[in-house]
Amino acid sequence: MCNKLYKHEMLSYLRKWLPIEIIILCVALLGRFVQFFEADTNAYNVIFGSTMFFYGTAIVVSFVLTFVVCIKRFHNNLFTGEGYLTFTLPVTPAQHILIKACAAVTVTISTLIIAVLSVFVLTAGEVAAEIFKAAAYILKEFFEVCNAHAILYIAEFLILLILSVFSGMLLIYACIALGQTFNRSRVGWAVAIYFIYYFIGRIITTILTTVLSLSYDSIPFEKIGRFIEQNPFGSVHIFFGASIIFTFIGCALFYLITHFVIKKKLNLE
Amino acid sequence: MTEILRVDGLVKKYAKTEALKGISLTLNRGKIVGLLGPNGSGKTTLIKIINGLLTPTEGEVYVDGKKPGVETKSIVAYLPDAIYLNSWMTVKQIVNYFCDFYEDFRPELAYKMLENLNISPNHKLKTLSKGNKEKVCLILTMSRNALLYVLDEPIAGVDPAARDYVISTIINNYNPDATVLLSTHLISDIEQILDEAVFIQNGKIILHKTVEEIREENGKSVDELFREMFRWEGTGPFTP
Repeated sequence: MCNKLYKHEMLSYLRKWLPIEIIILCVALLGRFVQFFEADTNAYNVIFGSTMFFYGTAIVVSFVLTFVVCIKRFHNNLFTGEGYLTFTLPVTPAQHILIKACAAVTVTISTLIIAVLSVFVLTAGEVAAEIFKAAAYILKEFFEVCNAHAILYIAEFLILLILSVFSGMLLIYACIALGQTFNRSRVGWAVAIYFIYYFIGRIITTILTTVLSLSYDSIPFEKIGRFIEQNPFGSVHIFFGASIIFTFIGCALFYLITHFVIKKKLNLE
Repeated sequence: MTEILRVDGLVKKYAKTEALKGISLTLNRGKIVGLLGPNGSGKTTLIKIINGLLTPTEGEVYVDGKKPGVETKSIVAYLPDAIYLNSWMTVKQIVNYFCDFYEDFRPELAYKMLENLNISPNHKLKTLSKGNKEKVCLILTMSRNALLYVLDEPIAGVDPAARDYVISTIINNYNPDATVLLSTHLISDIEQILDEAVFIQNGKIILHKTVEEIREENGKSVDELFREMFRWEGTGPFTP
């Protein structure tokens, strides 16, 4: 059932998301085409500048639209008229939430990959070759310095990246789901809950920072510094590991909130 | 076990109103049951709870002995009172969607009914008229080989000429061992197909009898009894 859900999620996304990404690649291609007529003239500079501005704007817009499309898909498919079909499918709430999150993460990360790809399209030729050379040099140095740790760092970074996108999506899902527990202005409440979450997060961060600064003398900075110096590779693993655990806890919390509302408090309008 | 649906002491409260006030109801297999009541009587609320779309404040619902969940959703075919399908999808895509999720869905039956109505599977839903959209929704629901069909106002939006088609679609395509629970206030149109009638008013069930019992005990048709029980008791029609 999960593969069918995922298939239909992706089909729905492709309808709105794919045209945006095709536009990005076309604009990048146009930018590259303009460069064939490179000349030290005002006309060229204006056309090239305009193309670059258009390209930059398109990249930003693609990320914003992807974000909006993901949020709208979750809200509309579950909590508007479409929910009458979605929630009468023989599918569990857990499957709905996880598959929706997986599809949204796929789309978001694909947007990131296409943005990088568009840079190569825009710079195809000598510049792209230079970028590849530079990237290859950095990777070679990275592997030489870090040895076996390099692969682990890359794996940990990718896990953290994917989990962070999951966390961001599930946070929004939780806010939308909590908004549904109100009788009126459900979308308004979802937005309010999102801002309240960040406001509370900011307050907690401020309190923690204040407490830490007040107890500056009791923090063994010297010991920490010595540990990092003695275990430089291990310290990075600890940093990635801790980040992954915290992000995972966030994911689990947001997922449980969304699941609870859908399973126990569902009230379709 | 002949029981397909059991509702025990169902209460549904909204912010300031109580839509259902302790409803209890049992339906057996192989019956066509009319859930009849005036607007705002609680018909749709009850139907939504049976389908797991609303959470009851109190009480329980059992479909084939199970609480609403994955197992009940695979045996209940539900027709909501509004268009709930994605308007950007073609009819064929929607049929495929139902094929993917419902093991009891009969695509050949769906295509046959669509052909009878001259609805092309390649048409997008948004290009169809409101009446045809409603017919597509009904066709999809009745193309399932379900144990319980829950139809919310299946004839409210279609013109009188099309009502016969809708009613014949229901009769000809439901599994005879299954139960059909259909809500409406257009009783005269569906009375001839009903086995039982449930009258609901102000969130309470005030009558649940077979159609035969109603006719024998009251000497009236279901429609006549309904009109008598729910007669307008105001000060007469509005005159400006």
